[in-house]
Amino acid sequence: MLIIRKTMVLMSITLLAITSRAQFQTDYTPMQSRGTIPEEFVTSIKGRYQSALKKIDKKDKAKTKRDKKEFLLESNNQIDLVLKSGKVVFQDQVSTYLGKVADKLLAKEPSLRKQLKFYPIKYENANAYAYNEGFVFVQIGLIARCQNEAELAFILGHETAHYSKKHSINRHAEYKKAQRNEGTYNHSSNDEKLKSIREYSRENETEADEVGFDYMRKAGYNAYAAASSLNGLRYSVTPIFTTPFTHSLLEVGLYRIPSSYLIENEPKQKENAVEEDEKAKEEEENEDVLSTHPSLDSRIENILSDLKVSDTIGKPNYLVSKAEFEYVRELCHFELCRIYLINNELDMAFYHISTLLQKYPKNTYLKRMMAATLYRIAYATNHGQLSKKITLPAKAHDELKAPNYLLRKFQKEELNLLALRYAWYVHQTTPKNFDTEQIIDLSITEYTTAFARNVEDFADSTEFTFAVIESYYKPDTSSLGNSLVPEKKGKIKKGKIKKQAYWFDRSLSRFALSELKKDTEFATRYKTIAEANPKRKLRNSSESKEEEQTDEKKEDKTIKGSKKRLNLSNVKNLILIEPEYILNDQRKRIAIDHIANEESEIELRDMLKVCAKEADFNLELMAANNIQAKDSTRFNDYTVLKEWVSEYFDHTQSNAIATDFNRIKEISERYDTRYAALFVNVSTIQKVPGSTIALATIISVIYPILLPWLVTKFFPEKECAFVLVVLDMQENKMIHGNIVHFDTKDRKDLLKSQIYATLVTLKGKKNK
Amino acid sequence: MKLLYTLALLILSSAILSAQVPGYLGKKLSAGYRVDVSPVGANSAIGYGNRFNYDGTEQGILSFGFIHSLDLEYVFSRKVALRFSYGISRNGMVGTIEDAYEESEPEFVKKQYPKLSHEYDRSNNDERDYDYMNMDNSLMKVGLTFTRGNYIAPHGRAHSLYLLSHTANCNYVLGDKSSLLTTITGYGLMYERTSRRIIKDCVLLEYGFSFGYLFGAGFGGNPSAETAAKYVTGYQNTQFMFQGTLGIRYLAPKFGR
Repeated sequence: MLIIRKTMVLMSITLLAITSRAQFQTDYTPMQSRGTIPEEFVTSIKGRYQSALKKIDKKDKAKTKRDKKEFLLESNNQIDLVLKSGKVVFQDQVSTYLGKVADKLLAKEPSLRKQLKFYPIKYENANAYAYNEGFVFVQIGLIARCQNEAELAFILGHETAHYSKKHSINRHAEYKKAQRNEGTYNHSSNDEKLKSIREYSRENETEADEVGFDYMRKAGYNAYAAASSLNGLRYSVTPIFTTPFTHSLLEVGLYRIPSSYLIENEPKQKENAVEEDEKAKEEEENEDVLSTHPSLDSRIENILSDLKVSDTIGKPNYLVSKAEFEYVRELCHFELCRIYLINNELDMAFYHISTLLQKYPKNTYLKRMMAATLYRIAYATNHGQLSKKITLPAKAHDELKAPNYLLRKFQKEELNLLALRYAWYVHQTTPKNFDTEQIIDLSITEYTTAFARNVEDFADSTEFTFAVIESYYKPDTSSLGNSLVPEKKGKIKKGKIKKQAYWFDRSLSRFALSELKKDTEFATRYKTIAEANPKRKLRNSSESKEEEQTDEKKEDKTIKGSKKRLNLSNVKNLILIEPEYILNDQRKRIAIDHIANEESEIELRDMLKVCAKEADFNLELMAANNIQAKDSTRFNDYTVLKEWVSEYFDHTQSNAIATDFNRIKEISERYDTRYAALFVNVSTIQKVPGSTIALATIISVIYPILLPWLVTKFFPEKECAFVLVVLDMQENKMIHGNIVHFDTKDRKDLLKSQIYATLVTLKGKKNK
Repeated sequence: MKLLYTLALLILSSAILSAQVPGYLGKKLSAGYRVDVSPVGANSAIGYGNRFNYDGTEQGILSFGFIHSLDLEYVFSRKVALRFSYGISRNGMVGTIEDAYEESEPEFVKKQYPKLSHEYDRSNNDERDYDYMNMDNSLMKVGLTFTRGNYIAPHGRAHSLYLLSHTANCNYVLGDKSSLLTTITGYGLMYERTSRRIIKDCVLLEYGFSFGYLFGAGFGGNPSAETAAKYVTGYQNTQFMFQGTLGIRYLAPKFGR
């Protein structure tokens, strides 16, 4: 029986390895939650807080109890924010695997294991954190950087130790003691207090390392992984891969990259990099005194001093399964493509995706991601944001130097054409996808806005040879950014358009679309979009200045003429993403009462529903605790929308495409609407300082006529603001956004009045 | 005034037919009751207005005059509403007897109400302490209400401007008898500043203050047929100097777009 079971396990692992590799070869589906929604995702802050209160030691002093209560409220609010951020996934392969590793790790601590919940969280860095309530969140970036399961086990052990030793709540109590100058903090300066608290924190970290190490040793993992895991943290913000960048994957069709664009021709940059590394090391050393964590060297040393030969020799790195670990890690690698793009870390995305593409050249997901990255890079170039998105090679991490060098060498037009050419290549080689199609359309629009080209302007493919391209570029001897050296400077005619034409005839751009000239589908699409683009450059080099002016007038008219009323009158459904209510009452000791705010939020939702109904909208409320336990599809929709919204607002690019455009479009179709709304209500009540009242009283005694003024001083200043934003899910842009401010406390009638009026206005709003 | 009402109706009808107006949850029409309170006792203390209530009792310094009104309001843009209002009030007016008993009845009484003036035996002061005049006022207002700041009508803080038409039926009271003396009509302007809160989605509470002016006002002098109009207007103006306002309104269900 045991043999059969073992065989079945072995078979399933083998099958997993085979199917997983097969999946990565062709496509990838972003991480999604599955099954029943865990209770903690829908539990209110109040519910969680009240159960946490029961754990406070009754013997604690009143002050300590108060501090702990304060901590628990804040901590539970933080957990709520994390769980509802859309970044946490449950019951997917990664979280299931984390659970399995935790089971192995804490096999000898069953009661502790029961108290803990492990979740992956979609962030790129190597970090993990444990909450006092038993939640451990492990960032995807950390899993992706682990070399084996034992390293991951040590990290889980370390976080478990923070929980079991109640580090976070004790640290808070310590901080409060310092604030009140109690005990050892009496007569200490602020600097001394800070150092003491940090010292306390470092002690906690050391203890967590030791206890975590102990867990993994007892579990039977190769304990050396603890040291290697800590060593890996040195590279927590660097790219995961160390594979050299290959530019050839960009050379699709007749798009060729000249040799002068490659970093091999730029030896100076390497010296700078060494200096940067030295600086970083120095900074790390200097930070140690005020750091919350001990230095990595001392942590590793500490671990190694405890390490016995018996802890390593014959001990496995895998207790769950190597195949499963590798599969999960690869999932995280793929997920990081999304995360980098959502964060708009374009150089990281470019390098990461290109490295994965070397491994999986037929993966359609990676191709689509690369098309999106190139489009964003071109967009950033056109809008003067490239230097913010692509770090200078000299300052970049080693792995990013080559790709960053290349991207910075490209000229604006070359990048635009590269994005367009690559997107068309993806269109030709992968099944039809909305995001690729959208990227093609946007690339044409961007390109024709910046440059006056028709498809016919590109050279015939028969003229192409790589030697021709090379002849246009001399080896770079100047600074970065423009390696194009004109043969005869005197021949360049005046005027922007004429200069553009001159450069175009002597650059690789000439051939970028050569073989597509005869592609009827492409040519028609290019022409249609270019002609419909109101901002396009209609001129060519032969047109006169007068014609240019006439065209500009035409453009203006076209733009003015495009102001249409938004056709929301026929829109029945509107998605509302988690409305928020924040009251900051500064008169109270805890100014932001998360529990009260949560209750107000529920009222706010009801209000929004009523208003939407009256305004003839059917509101699809997307809020975590408003989703049925078994409706994981809706929960996934919610998380996608949350990520989309944060991407939109963190990196406002009105015309750039959303990373999850395909999924957003699916949601749009599922709920039969293309509009999603956000609503936030913020209220503040100011505290009236005692000194103000005293001063006003004295003045009123001297001048009794000012008594009414004194009375007003007793009333705190109140103000509130409502923010309503409506986003178009299909065009990835904001179509309505307004902030309404009042010098009064928010009230239900005020809220309803504003919400309803805004929704009604939406139906007749002018499209700008 | 007819022209005014016609104009207002035209505005209203065009507003109903025109584009979307939010109102409060789509509710744009409301009907209400309100009471305007003014410290008329203080007015009499400074030498203007009445010293008597409608029933002839004497007023103290803390007496108040009340105007009870019913009104109808229609919101026809985000910030503007049109209001029609009809109000009534009753007041007593300065008596003539205490100060001028020895003198003859006012001329207009003798002329218009000879019977009334001769029914009493002037030699018996006990039977007749005084005579005075009281008024049955009706006040019609039509005006526009402008909602302030970010508020949306009919909710929030508002400034209102009204044209008003005041009609007073003046009765001469002698002892327990009274008779219509004259009817006086005046026109004026009124400004009002109110705050409006909505309770339970269909009830609106409003409070604030107002002041106005009735044209053709005059003060003092003995009442006579010629001066009665000025006297009434004068009294009314003292009442309009400052009025506190408290009202409750019913928001009619949403109709139309």
